[in-house]
Amino acid sequence: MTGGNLARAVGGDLRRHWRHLVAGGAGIALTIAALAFFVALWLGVRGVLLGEVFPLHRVEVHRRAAELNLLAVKLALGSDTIGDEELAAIGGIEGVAAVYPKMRLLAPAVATGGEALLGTAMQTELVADGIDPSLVADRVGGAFHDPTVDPRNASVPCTGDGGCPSGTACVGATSFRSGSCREPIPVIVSEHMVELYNGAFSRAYRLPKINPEALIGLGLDVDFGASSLRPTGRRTVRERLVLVGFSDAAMPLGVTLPLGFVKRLNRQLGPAGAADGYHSAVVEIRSADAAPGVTAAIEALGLEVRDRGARRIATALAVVLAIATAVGAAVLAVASLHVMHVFALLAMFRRREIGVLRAVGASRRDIRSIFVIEAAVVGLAAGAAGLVCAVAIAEVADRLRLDRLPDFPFAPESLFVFPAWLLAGALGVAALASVLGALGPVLRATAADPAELVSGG
Amino acid sequence: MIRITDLEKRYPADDRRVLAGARVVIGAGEIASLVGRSGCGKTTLLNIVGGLDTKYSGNVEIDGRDLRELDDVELAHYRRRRVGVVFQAYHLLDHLSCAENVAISALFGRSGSTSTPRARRRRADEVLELVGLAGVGDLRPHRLSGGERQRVAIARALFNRPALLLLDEPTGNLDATTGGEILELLGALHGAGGLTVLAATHDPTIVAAGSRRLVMTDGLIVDDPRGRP
Repeated sequence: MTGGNLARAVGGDLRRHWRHLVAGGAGIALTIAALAFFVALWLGVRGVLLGEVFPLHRVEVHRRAAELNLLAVKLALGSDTIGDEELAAIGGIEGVAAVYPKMRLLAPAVATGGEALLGTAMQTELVADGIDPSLVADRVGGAFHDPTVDPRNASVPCTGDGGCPSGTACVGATSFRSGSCREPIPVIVSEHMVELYNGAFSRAYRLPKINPEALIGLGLDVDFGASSLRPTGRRTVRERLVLVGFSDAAMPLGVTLPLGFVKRLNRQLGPAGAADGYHSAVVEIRSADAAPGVTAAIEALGLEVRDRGARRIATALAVVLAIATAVGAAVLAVASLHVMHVFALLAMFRRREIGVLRAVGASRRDIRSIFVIEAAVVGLAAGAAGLVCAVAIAEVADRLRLDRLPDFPFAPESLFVFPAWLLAGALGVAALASVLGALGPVLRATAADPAELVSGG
Repeated sequence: MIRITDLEKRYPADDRRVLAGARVVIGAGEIASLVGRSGCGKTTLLNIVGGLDTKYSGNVEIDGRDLRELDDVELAHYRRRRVGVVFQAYHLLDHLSCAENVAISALFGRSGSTSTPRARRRRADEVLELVGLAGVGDLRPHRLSGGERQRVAIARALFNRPALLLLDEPTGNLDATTGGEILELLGALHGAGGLTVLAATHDPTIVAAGSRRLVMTDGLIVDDPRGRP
């Protein structure tokens, strides 16, 4: 039987029996709609949880130093830093895409400012660390870089901010010598800081809540090497810091500066050897699937992977998916039984017709091909209808969420992700369920001889 | 040539034996009529010779080839190209037009002069004209009389120019005039192409028109002018 004749035969049958076939496909359409909806929701939630809240593809590595507990004091034994050789070793592990070292600021610092936000200037001790700017390039772009190493910034002498071009400040000017105009030091902070401010600080001090985006450009003057707690007796370095963005790579409580700048401060103002090693490193893994292998290899280097719950969340999500898939498979099996019932009825109604077709020259394979392709078409159409329903319901759910629910941290624009493989897979599963449902009745109908079929036996 | 040897058929549902060792040889170009009481095995014998029933014992050879040796695809090809079967109840498909019914066998198989829809339609109209039904190609079978439907069924059987035509009570549902017309038609077809015809019938006019009369009783051919083969 040629493809064209097969298409003609199938097309004619579909037109003739469309009501029965729609009834048969309805169960599959509903099941596919439910399955696609929940898998898309699972993918969306998984993406937010493991991609942003508990990133599995980005882990933080540090060295756990042995500690000696002496009453209230813990005495560190050995180094707790990671060297360049270890960073190179981590970078060589299969599955590792990039390694970004981090360094804590080991000099005291006092920040002054905040009039624009609080109405009055505030002075506070500042905790800071430094990260490789490329780690946050995708979130804050080129604004987060170390301006102190930019040669353009040393060319304009000044004695005060008034003599500097817009966007720059006069750095290093004293009563005895002039400074140079340069961009302020960019800082990024964690979104948790803003949430902490809006959730507790603003209520306690009866201050207005703030929109994070409005804080971009906020400046602070910082005296590195100084402390408001006790005199340090060290020389200090005054810098102007300006907020350029938010990132989950920033330290949870404190500010994060460009790594090179922190390294230089540690060398100038910190204890001996403060700039010789890194306190941790962020390891970017190529895929979440490679995470277990990479973790094991890192631990084999004598380092520790800081798990913020990602692995537990990943396991919990996998369990949820397994349960949802099992329930979906059971529902799909029921839908497939429904198709089987419809095709059994159709095969029974068409028993004489099948007999006539066989009598005039159709082989068993010809008849089976017609029925199987009909079932596949019904399955594909039902699957497509189910997917349209799933996408439409997801759209409505997203709109309701945005309209009715308050905003929450890490909230994505859509809770649902419909990748191409999900769409193709849903269509494939729908067609397969329909064909499997139809196969039994078709095999039974074609097992008999033509004489038996036309005589109604 | 058809050679039937020790043909037995038993229906398992009621363990009834409808063929009990029938033997006969029918030469090419003969018009043979099978007569006998209802239930003596005429239709069953036609079904087996036509490749419509494969559950039997004994041998049926068509031009020296045993039907049992054919697999499902070869048997389908045999039914499509070598044999034309006309059922007593016509068995036309009501959702198709008369021309589509006549040309239905061309949907199956891969080659032949009727592989395109236009060629199929041309051949269907040609055969309908041959059986005296020119111009009814687009009508549905339910719009036709019993005799006309019988002619459409004959046209369907003749579509692929078979060498063997099997007829099951071809005039059984028709009045005497229409039956006579069908008989005339069969005579003309046989005369034109040397068709071998095997007809199960109660109609004495068909028996009289044929070249050989085979009498069946209880699953056996008990009377054959040429004797037991």
